[in-house]
Amino acid sequence: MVEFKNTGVTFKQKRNIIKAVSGASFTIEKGDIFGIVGGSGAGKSTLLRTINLLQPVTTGDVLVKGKSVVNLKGKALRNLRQNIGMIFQHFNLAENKTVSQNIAFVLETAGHKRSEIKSRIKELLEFVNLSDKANAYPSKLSGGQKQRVAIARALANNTEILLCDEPTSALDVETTASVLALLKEINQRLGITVIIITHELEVVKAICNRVAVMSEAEIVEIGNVYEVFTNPQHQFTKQLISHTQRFDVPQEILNKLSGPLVKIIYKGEKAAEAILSDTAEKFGVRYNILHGKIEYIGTNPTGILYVNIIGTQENILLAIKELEEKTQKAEVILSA
Amino acid sequence: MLENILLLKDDIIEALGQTAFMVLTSLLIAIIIGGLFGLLLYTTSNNLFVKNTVINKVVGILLNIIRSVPFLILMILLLPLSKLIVGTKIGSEAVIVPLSIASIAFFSRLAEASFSDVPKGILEASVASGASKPRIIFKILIPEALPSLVKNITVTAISILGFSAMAGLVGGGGLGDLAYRYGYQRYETDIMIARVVILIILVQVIQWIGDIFATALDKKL
Repeated sequence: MVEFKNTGVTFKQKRNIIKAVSGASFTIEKGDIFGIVGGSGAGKSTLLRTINLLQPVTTGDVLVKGKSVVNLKGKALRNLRQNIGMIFQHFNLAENKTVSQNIAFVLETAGHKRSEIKSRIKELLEFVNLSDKANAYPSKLSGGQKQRVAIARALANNTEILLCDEPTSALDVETTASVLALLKEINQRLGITVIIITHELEVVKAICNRVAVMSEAEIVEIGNVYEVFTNPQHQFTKQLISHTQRFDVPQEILNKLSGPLVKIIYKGEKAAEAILSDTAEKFGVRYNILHGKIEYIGTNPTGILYVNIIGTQENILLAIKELEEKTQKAEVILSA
Repeated sequence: MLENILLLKDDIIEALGQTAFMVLTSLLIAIIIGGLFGLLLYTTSNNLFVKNTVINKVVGILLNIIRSVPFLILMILLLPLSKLIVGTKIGSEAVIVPLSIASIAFFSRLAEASFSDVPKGILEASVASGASKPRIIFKILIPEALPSLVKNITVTAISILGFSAMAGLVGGGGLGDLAYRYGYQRYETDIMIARVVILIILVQVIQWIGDIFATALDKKL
């Protein structure tokens, strides 16, 4: 659906040349919910904007549905943009237009007839569950409602691609969940390819199937969300993920530990508890679970456990060796 | 005092009429031409539209020059132009020319500021929806800037009212002229006071009407 070919964007600022995106090459398939994550200033937003050419490309190419877009101008460019919806962190609705008028604006842009526009608006507002707000002004809506209107507006012209620029960053946790559910529904029911840039890993875990990680203008890692999150390869990705797996056990408890502290990560169905009880029996060690969590990435579970191993030095080493073999990862983080 | 004012009732009404003619005509011209200059300044400074630093700077400097010249001097300097455009160097019609030019320069900058206050995100969303530039200007930019434009039209109207007081110097008539002739030259202080009272009421009314429109148009509140 969207293909980046060595895409690069540089900005000239006075005498400095700033690389915003450097040599991005990857493909987003039709039907993907594709996440692009990274810190602020990583170039995510710039990369996203090359798809509808809000951001001109300096080098390389961007293909949408197999056609290069980087040299489009005038009417051809406007036609491309009419079929690519976009939503933003701050919703970007016209404040002096009602909900209906905001949606009507993009339908009129595409040259629809007045009667069609009316029925299409009705249909769209039903879809985003805001039929009762048709004549309300944006200032009377909550953040979540504004984003729903923005989504309705973005979908108005039978969009095939929906670009989302930090769509939930200005929303609270509950509203975020409902907006993400709506995006997922759009993807599954309407078959629209959704591309989301965000700094929130939770967003990617919740709805994306594929993810690209961006750091300092470069794509450092790309792949299936579950693989990237459970088995990150690049240092930046590891660091990014470690923030969500932070280990907070009070220092007093850590001071009292008698054996080593081991972090165990396990994937999928393989239950760690069974492995723990097996090894406990086999090597005569005891486990003291200090901290643990099971996370779902899409519908796949991944678990993290922090355990303190108590036993003889020799048995502890054997148990750790077995854990290393039988789990995704087991690492000693405190060897007291 | 009252009989003095009553004696001059017809003069005052005539002066009020002249003032209204000068202010309203110049205001209308300022809104149209000044509004266009404001739009030009805005669109040439914004890369979502037609960024052009040269045009922007040239127009900006020209408007600044006009705004630098005190109105009294501007009026005298522009008398030949009045003769050329309206065919006379005296009377309210002659004053319209310098008054309009000063108002255009004044309102251009205010209109530019009104356009600049429209959040860039709204315009970016419109560009992303595939709308053409003229469409974005007429359907998004101007409607979104409208409440602020109306407030600035009010400010401009009150400034023009102030400028118009100097029209008497070239026989333009109006309230200012009346106050000057009777109040200052003939020491009839009561006429001057009456004139000031009328002006105060006028300013209040203009502001009041402007605020009503601006509030009615602003859906952000």
